[in-house]
Amino acid sequence: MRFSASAAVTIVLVIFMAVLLYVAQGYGPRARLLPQLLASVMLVMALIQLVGELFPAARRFLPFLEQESLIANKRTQDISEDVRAVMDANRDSPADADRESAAIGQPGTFWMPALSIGGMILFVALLHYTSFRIAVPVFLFSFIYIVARQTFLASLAVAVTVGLAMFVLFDLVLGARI
Amino acid sequence: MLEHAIPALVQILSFPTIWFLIGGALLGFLFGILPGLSGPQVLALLLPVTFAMDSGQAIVMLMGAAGATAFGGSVTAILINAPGTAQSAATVFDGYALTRKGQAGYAIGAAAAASVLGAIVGAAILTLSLPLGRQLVLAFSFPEYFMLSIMGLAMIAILAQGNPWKAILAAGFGFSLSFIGIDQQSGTIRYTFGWDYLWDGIKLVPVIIGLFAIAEAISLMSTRGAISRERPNTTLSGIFSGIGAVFQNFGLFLRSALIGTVIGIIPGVGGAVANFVAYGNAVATARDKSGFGKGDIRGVIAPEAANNAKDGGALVPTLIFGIPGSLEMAVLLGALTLHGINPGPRLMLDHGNVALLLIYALVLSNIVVGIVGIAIAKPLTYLTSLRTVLIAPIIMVLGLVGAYATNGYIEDVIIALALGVIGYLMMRFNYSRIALLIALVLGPLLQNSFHQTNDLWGPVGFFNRPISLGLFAITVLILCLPGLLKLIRRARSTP
Repeated sequence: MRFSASAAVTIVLVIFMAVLLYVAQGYGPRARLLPQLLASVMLVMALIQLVGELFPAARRFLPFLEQESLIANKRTQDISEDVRAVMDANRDSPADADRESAAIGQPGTFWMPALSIGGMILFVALLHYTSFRIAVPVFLFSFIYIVARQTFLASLAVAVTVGLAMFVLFDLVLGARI
Repeated sequence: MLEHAIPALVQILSFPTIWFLIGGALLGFLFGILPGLSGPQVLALLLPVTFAMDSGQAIVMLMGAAGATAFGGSVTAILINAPGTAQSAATVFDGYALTRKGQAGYAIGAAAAASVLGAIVGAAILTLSLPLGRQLVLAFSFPEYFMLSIMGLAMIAILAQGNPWKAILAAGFGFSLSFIGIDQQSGTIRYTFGWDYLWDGIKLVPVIIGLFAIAEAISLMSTRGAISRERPNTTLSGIFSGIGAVFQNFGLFLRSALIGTVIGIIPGVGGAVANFVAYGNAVATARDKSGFGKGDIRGVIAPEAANNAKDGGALVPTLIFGIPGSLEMAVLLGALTLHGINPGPRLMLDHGNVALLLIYALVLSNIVVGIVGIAIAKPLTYLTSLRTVLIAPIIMVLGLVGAYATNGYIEDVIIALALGVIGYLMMRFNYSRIALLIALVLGPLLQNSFHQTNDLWGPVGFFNRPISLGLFAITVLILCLPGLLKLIRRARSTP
């Protein structure tokens, strides 16, 4: 058995579908028909997915778990040997691959996403208890200075500029009452 | 439809609508230049801004932004070897090679002309397809709407990028989110867990902002550093020769634009595939292939024509069936719904002018960025040297404050953040976000048409009408297609 982050996500999905199914029992027949139908099918599908993730050997018997999309798959990108040759000729430096990864937003380490999510939770709290006029510059300055480790001046410049721009957009132009 | 042609044109060219179009197009162009950000992100961030606008101005601005991102991505692909969007990836091969030869202006000119003309071809095919919508209205009832929604979801799951099994799970998750709130059929309050905010269901604005803006910002934080340090060190001369090259290779241009349109029509596939297929076709059909990859202008014209024509194609299923042809169209579909416009067979009857506004906005936004983009392309490429850790927090606050500004509910911000985390996990573990969004948008229609069919005709009602049965057969075929193709391949390979 191999436990991975992907399996953890699938377990959450299994729990979600199980809760959906369980809670539906309390509704009238008309209100619960579709939720029960959907949750039952999805629960089975999510469990199959989980088996494939926890036991990699089982994937041999579940080929659909690794199947790629019919059209938008990797094979689409090498339409012919000519195209592959052209691609290879162009892919002449590791830097190219790095940029390509950046272009499609490859996921990275665990800590940066975790810090980003934590920072946003604090921002939501700040937004709720103060106002966006205070929350935006405070969050931007502290996030860029502490988490993104940029210079004091760069952090301050971004915080003040974006704070002002958002004040103009939301307060003066849109008249949002927030 | 013709009765709307002139009034819609007058509306889009009048003030201040034209300013919203230009503003949207320039924002889309800017987001196209910034790698990692593209159409869905600019649309998600613009959505709250357009909420208070007149619906005509709002959709013009949104369509302007969606239509302009492709060319923005191509500019950085040509000048600094960093495609701003996945749909411009194939332009790098010959576009950057031309820049290295000192012919950046030639490549940019060809890209701009192919983009504008490609968008016109896509829009023309869309215009010709729209009358079909009127015919469908007469033939469609509840079972057809139900089967059509199921077929659309099946197509997105099987054909869109990633693993179809996971895409179906994502669609199921999205559909289950649509159960939250008051059930329109029975009046029962479902899955609110005592939270009054959820009585109206999950709102689309925070979902779109979360799935596409917040998730992308979290992902950007993982890719530290600048996108590209390469700087264009060439002059942009030869632009008119580049424009002329499109007309010299008009057959290739037209073929590529048609490829782009057809790929755009297939739900969920989009420009990332269109530009590679068009590039592959250009290489495969060329008599002299030796120049490709070394700076052949045909290698710029083909993908550029395809990735702009695909927007018109993607609008065909979006407007006629209410099933989006691409990720941008999925967000746009949500935006239209929020502005009280329901895409689908009734669109041409209820909002005929909207379809034409979208077509005009698509073409005009490409013309605007084609002209303005050439003038400001070079200085704008310096934006890619901005560190992602500076861009990402700005997107976070814009997204979250945007979600807050829509209704002034902090709960909307919490939902946007939660969906942002879910969207990030979906990106990371290869689940389809487009399938989730479409299932959520189609959820109420699916539920209502299911119950109405069941009430009127019983379970057989889904199968005893020819169109409904036909749609069901197509859905089964789509779902079985991967297995069938495998069997055919195996049969061919065995002697």
